[in-house]
Amino acid sequence: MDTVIEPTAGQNERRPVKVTVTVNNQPVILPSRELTGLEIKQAAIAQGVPIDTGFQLSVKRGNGRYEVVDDDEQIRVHPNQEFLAVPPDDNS
Amino acid sequence: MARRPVNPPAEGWSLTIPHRLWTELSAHLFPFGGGAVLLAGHAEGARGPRLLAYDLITATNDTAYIPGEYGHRALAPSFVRDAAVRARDESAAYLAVHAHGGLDRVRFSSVDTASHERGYPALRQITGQTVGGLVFTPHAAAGDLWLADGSRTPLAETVIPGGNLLRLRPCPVTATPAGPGHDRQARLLGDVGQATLNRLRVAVVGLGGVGSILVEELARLGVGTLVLIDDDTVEATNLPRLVAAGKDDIGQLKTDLAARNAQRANPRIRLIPKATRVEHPEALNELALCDWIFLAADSASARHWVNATVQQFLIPGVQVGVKIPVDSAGCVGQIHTATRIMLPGDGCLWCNRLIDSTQLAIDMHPKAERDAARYVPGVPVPSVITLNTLAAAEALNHFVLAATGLHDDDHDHAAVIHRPRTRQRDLQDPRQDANCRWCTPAGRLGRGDSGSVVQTATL
Ligand SMILES: [Zn+2]
Ligand SMILES: [Zn+2]
Repeated sequence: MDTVIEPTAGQNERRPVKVTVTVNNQPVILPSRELTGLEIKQAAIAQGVPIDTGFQLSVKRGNGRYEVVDDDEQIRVHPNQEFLAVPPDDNS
Repeated sequence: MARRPVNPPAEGWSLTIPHRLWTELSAHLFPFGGGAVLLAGHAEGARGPRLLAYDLITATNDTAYIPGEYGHRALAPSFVRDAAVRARDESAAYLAVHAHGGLDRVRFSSVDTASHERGYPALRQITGQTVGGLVFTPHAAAGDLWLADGSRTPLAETVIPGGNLLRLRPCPVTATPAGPGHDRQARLLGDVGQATLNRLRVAVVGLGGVGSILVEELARLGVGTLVLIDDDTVEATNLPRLVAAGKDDIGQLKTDLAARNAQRANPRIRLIPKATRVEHPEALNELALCDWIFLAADSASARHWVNATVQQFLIPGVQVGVKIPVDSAGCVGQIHTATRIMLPGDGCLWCNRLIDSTQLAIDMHPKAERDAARYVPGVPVPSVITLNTLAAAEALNHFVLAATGLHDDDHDHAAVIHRPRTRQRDLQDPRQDANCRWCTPAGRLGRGDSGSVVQTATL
């Protein structure tokens, strides 16, 4: 559940904020509330999560299901939101 | 098909796949090659940690198993994610599976290895469990495991307990010739077959008329380690049916007598006697480390706890029983002996109505209360060594042929019912309840250490 108190409308979007989410169970601090899938992966990589930008990102929704977030898809994040990033498992 | 190599048990990490899952997986992998994920529980084993496969998630071609970015094929990321989430939620190992061409040998390609190195650190973080890749041919298996503690290790062998007890490795083992003592036997079983027996750890639960025959023959076959479980002592009325028993043995533990006979049959045998009931945590812990269990005790509690161990730890076994109905007027009914193969993931003793829950409830009480709860005082039932021998021989032959891969049919594990009065021998297929809480993925199948049998026993 999102327990964060929303700041007054209008003043939050431009102000830099830090939102902590998890990517593959690791805490990752995001620099904004609105990010693309690629930006979330890049933040996670910069903070040591062992993934690469070719991984597929998913976000956990309220119903407990995961939904794919495309690289160029902008989503609104909230604290403690859970993401998973997995690779395709290539074999030959 | 070409004869499959027989591999003795290997040291190190192993994976056990119930034969039904293996049948399903084989149909998916061969001959055209599909992708899948196995979910597996975990347990300690006699030769190293064991992964216990309990469910198979097959990747549908073209949607979940797709052309690869780097490799020939790939498991699609959404499929990988959903399987990893299941592994996380069920505290299970995540094992991605694919097939290679060839028959007796298999190894990962450089694309496979690169894919593991790229993806498995993340999957390990998501699941908090062992993750890994497996590659199969019909006769060989290799695995690359990324353990929860951060280390990485190869899979030593994959075990499939079916009509034959298959062991798949990356390449076949060449065995050193069996010692001169077992030369004649090895002419049938092969040197690798003999080496397999030498490395097996086998339990005999119940050391009475049937159990004493089992112990004697297992020791002479050259089985390396025997776990002997019985809390009973020898009575005068047992002597005619206990192998090599004498008057001096009266009052001694049956485990002591069995250990002495086994030692005489094979001085190099390793023995682990447990003079307790089978549900005692010490006995259950030893059982869970075995490769095979002979159940030769007839109580409902022995049946229940052995059944639970077979299913939860994926250890094959065989139940041996003799029924001699004689009524109060001395009328002899249809005598029968039963040898029932217990395979993990198949119709278990509960599914086959072979455990009486009322009897089990009585059995689980202390001895004084047990006696008081029985309506009629226990009357000795008939028991004859020749009938015990009939059932024991069936069980032992099944075991030897299964362990050395000599059964014609990998899947046939029907029970054998002998009716000596009419000289009939019949096969009986087991039945399975769709949602059995012991022998299906909905239950304890392959859950190993989590949901411990021992914990349940002490409740
Ligand atoms: Zn491959
Ligand atoms: Zn069952």
